[in-house]
Amino acid sequence: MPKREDIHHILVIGSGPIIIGQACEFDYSGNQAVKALKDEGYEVSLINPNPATVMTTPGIADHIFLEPLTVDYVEKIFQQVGPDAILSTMGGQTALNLTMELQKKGILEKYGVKVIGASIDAIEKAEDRGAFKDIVTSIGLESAKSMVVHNLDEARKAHEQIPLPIIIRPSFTLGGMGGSIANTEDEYLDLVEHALDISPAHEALLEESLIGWKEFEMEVMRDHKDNAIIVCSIENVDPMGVHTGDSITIAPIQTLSDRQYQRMRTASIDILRAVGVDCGGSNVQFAMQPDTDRMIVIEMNPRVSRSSALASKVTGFPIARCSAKLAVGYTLDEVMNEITGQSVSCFEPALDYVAVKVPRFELEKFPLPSSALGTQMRSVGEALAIGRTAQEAINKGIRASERKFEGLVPLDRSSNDVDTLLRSAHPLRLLAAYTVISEQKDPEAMAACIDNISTITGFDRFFLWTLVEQAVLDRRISEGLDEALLREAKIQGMSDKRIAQLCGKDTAQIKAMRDSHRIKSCAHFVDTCAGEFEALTPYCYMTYGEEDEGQPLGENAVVIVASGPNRIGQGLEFDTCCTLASLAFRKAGRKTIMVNSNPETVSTDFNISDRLYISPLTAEEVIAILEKEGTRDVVVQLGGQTPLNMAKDLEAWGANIIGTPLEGIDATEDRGQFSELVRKLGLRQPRNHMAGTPGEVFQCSHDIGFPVLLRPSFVLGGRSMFIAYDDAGLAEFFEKSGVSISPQAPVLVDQFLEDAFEYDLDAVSDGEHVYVGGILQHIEAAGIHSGDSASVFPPYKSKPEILEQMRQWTLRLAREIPVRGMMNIQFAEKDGLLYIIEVNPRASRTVPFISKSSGVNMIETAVRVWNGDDLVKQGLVKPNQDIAEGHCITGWAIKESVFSFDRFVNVDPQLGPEMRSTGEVVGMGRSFGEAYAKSQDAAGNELPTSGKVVISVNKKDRKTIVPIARALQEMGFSISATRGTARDLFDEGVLTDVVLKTHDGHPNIVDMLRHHRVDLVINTPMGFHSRRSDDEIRSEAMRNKVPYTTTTSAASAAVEAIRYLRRQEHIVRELPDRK
Amino acid sequence: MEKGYLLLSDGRLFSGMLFGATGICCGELVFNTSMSGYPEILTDPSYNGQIVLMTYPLIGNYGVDQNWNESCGIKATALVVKRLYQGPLPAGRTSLDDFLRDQGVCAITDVDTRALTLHIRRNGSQNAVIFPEGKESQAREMLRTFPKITERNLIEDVSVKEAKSLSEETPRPRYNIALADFGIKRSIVENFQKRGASVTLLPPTFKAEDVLGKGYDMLFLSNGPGDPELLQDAVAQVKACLGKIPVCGICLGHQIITWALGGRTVKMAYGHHGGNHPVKDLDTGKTFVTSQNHGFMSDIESLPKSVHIWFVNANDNTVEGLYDSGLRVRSVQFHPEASPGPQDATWIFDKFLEELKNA
Repeated sequence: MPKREDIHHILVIGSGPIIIGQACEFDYSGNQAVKALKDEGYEVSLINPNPATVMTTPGIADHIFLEPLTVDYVEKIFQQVGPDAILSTMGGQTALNLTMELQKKGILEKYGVKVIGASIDAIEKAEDRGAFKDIVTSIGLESAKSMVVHNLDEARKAHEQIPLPIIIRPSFTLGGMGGSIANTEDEYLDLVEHALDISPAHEALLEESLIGWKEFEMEVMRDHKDNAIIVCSIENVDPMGVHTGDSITIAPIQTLSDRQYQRMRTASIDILRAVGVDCGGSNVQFAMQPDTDRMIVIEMNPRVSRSSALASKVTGFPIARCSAKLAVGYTLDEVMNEITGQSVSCFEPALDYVAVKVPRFELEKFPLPSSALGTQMRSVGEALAIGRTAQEAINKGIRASERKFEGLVPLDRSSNDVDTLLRSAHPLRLLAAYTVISEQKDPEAMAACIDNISTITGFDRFFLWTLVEQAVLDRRISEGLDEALLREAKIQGMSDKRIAQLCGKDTAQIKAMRDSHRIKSCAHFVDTCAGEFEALTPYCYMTYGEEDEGQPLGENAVVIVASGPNRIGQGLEFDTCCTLASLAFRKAGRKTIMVNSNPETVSTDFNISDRLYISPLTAEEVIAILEKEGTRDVVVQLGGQTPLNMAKDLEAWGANIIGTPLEGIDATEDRGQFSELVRKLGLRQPRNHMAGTPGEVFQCSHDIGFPVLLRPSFVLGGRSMFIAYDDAGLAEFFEKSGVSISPQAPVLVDQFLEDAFEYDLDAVSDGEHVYVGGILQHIEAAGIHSGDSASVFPPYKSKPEILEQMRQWTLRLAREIPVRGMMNIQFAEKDGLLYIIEVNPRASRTVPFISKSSGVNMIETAVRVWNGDDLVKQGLVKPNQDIAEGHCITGWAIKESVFSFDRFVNVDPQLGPEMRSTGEVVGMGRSFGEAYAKSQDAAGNELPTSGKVVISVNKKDRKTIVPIARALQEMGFSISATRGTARDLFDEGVLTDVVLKTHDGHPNIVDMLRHHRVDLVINTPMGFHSRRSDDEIRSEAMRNKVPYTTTTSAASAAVEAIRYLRRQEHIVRELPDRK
Repeated sequence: MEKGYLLLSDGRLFSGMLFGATGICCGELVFNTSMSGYPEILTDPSYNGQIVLMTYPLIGNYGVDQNWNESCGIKATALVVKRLYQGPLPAGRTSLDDFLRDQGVCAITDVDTRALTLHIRRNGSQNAVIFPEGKESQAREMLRTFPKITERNLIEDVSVKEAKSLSEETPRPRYNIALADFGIKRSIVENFQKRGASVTLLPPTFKAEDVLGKGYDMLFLSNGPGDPELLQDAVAQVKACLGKIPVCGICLGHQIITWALGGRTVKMAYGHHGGNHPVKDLDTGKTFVTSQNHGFMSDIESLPKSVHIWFVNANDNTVEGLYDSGLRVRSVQFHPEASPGPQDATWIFDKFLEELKNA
């Protein structure tokens, strides 16, 4: 059947900011969909306020709107560019929810816009748990015993039929948010009440607990001719009770007989048919009772998902691209399989390898109690590893998650309560099982303990046997390594480092031994067909002991080391940088080789690079790829800290680090060298000392003077950073952070510039000239991590001479280091003095944001510099000048951070020097107010247009707050102020209510927030002594989703934004298509 | 485990570790891309005379349950895998190693199955020998003299010697099927029985008169091993039945029907063996995923015009099924009974039985 001719222009809805449960997999899928639709000749518009994405890069869609994902803005887009269809299945739950809202409000009908991808009816059937359960029953399948309730009375009745433990899931929430498990009578009703509260439909599903059952997932595609295929089957290593996103998973399914598998397969297709998904992909989840055939259908998602991105990378089958084609009328047999080029998409990929996904948690930033994992997703990213055996893939997967475990290794019992971990749904449970197995006296005892561990943990015997095989191998290695054993260890995915640890050698010795015995890794293709057809698309993984495939790309090729699993501080932005670099290199005629372990990303799409490797990002593995491909050129400055950390090892091997040389990197990364550099160039940085012992930290702090900022060296995202105001604060740092301090791993003690203005500057240099993409000024007060602060491009409140000084310092640094390629500098200004906080000789988080809002693709600029075109030749810097700077194309662009605190009930949503945001959005506008309003809207912070404002500002701000308060009052807000502020406002003729400060009794500000009686808080820092009360106000405001500003500049920004909002304009601006 | 080797007729040698029964064994090496279902594959009589290479690397994970057998025991000549699972199994299951040993079938693990698969893809299926260390010269000699698959009668060992009625298994039959057994898979019989048919197995040496006028509603030609061209006696008997009784067939049965209709079959380079092959129904335009296992195929050019091509393989456009309404003939190359593989084509059995209503 040909494509649909009744539609011509399709709006693709993106998923917005990265939050836990909705990450860059939707950039990947949206990007594929946009490309597929354009290939078919459709005009494509895109709405997504996430500037970090690849999909919002100019040139990808015909019309790009970085606007909030709300009905109002979409309606404006309908008016402005007139799409006649929207694709709802590419932007996760956010896009589905927005589509449903557009439908309910009659907007789709009003503008004659058709929904393609999944019909409204199918979305409703799949999402409404009651309706879905009926469907499952009607086709002869079984659901868990369950009931939908809307109030506590119904919940009491339901419990008469469903025994404890009961799983409670609120309807219509993202990634199972707000889900819980009630184990006791006492907590049951409380948890139900919470679920009802957070469900937009005030509805919750109560379910028989299947905890401990085996869990499976099927990725299914179906077209309008009822052709259906299973793209991939996935088995969760963690049993039921752990959210799929938090489970270690393996593909394909390992432990089901063909009969069981086929039953599940047929059931999946029957479910799609019954729900009515007939033009796209869905995933269906199942549970099976261990050792029986009882199979329970858990749920389905009628859209592409995190699992479908994973399945695409596991199999090579591009689910999103294919879904987009089905959405416009094609059938599976009409879509060619691009990997083979000679088979059709209506087939089921055959794997001849095993793929393991290991989730990435941020246990330091979001500490988990021992039994933490449940029905709500907590992991922030994931790594994929491919191997020829389960053992190999698990070892690589654990390594790829970059949690400092060299594969399957026993846990250190002195710092881990192994027995508790074993009994808990915890990220370390698999390693706890490994620990117990590896402690057994001999292989027989190891095998003998499998049944017991399986009962405790719910891990299938198959997986535990894999651990036993690894434990036996470990023991043999520790008894003495020979050639045959080394070969075996490499085949099973062990790193040189781990082998070295076990046999008491060092890593280099193992590498030398490998080289002398010619134990080399080899590449295999991921070809969708287990070798049955020749693969055209070069998507590879490395393994050992087998025949190498694929001709080396040779010296012309450049390896790009990407950023690995998403984590706080290193995510989508870096993937976008790597992707854009690959495209830019190829445009310039160079071949590219992408190395990454993150299956959610665009960079691991098979047509971004000339060759793609799914591999753990370690020096050993990147070197193996360089050896295989016969090239030495490697880019390390685009993937965040991960590639930089291996730069030294790569260079030692003989790699040519493209761009800024290694000494330059060290000069900025090493705090001591950096201070030297600053002194040499006559720049200024906050007073600082390196401290190698706790005693030195105390001494330095007193020398510098409090407050001080403490940070361990070589970290990203402000991990373990801390501001201490006195000795007690220092003590708290040592106690809380768990940082082990030594002369080898010193702590940097910095003068903390309280109340300073902070800036981020992103630039490209050719070593001689500098092109500053833009300077961002933070809105929040100093002390909040730059990744967590809202920031404005261009600076909204700074003196021209300070900005000029920044440029000159940048130039001096760029020439001295010398920087070739990307650099990012953080500045602070206090009392008219400029300080340099840090220099990063690499792409920063803000590069995609600056590139889009300035219209200059900075990554492409850097790539051209590397290829020999200096900035003058590129026309970015005038021939007689040294430096030039970009400007914001709309006037103002504001980046706002987005958090996932609502996932962690017990985590204090307090911001500080340690980064905790998971994503970002942009607001762009002609006026500051428009930009700020949009940034808040897109981030889900609703600025009020009426109501009550609470103001509490420090003495210094008492003058500047007056016009703000007056403006708010004029717009009809009622104002409450704390005593001092109220008195000063009164003196200026602004009459306000008086509210008590937090510790002055009740009712105070926090009480008011708690009772939802406040719509906006303006609270500037009162200095150290009221820091705690400031924190409390902020936490309470965040918990209740009340907008909160910490500076008068942010407050006046809010006022301007409110003005814009009150005009109800919803201006949408198309990103200009500048190359 | 003992060290062993796999040697191909073109000289390629692979090493590995032996399991299952000990000895030297020779057969045609084919690869199968199914990711599950090794017990069904091993016991499928169509694999008689063939060494099966599983492209999926982990084999034996869930053990063996004799209830899954497609015939009385293992019919494949030998098994080649990347990694044999040797760990604990659910209660009541046998390990794959034990199953092979009990049945006297050799196997080899730790083989670079990927390289082997690519080699077969590029050079075609061929004879191979598996042997233990120290038996190389013996093995080479055996391989050198071993007949090609096109020269071997593989049917005798896997079919009934004389007619055998299974009528007691279908209490109130609605149909009577004469099933010519060339190495029938159990699940094909079960699919007919489930639909109310009483089945009588006829030996491959059956005559038209054993079928015609004996109260049968249909002649069904089973799957089986080897080259259909060698079965010209059976072809002649089928020809004699055409037009007089509905004739249906699966796999080898389909190939025999091809010959009986005046067409011919040809050997494929490396065949279709797996559970993921897309087949397009030319009548409805629908495509579905099928289980397949064949190394020969109908030559589309050789078939008379009166024959309708029912299905083609969506990847390579080879014939996957045909029918002739006038003659009431219907056959498929793939395996609608699955076992192992996707069960999306079980409706084919209903289509077969519909031919009876057209009588």
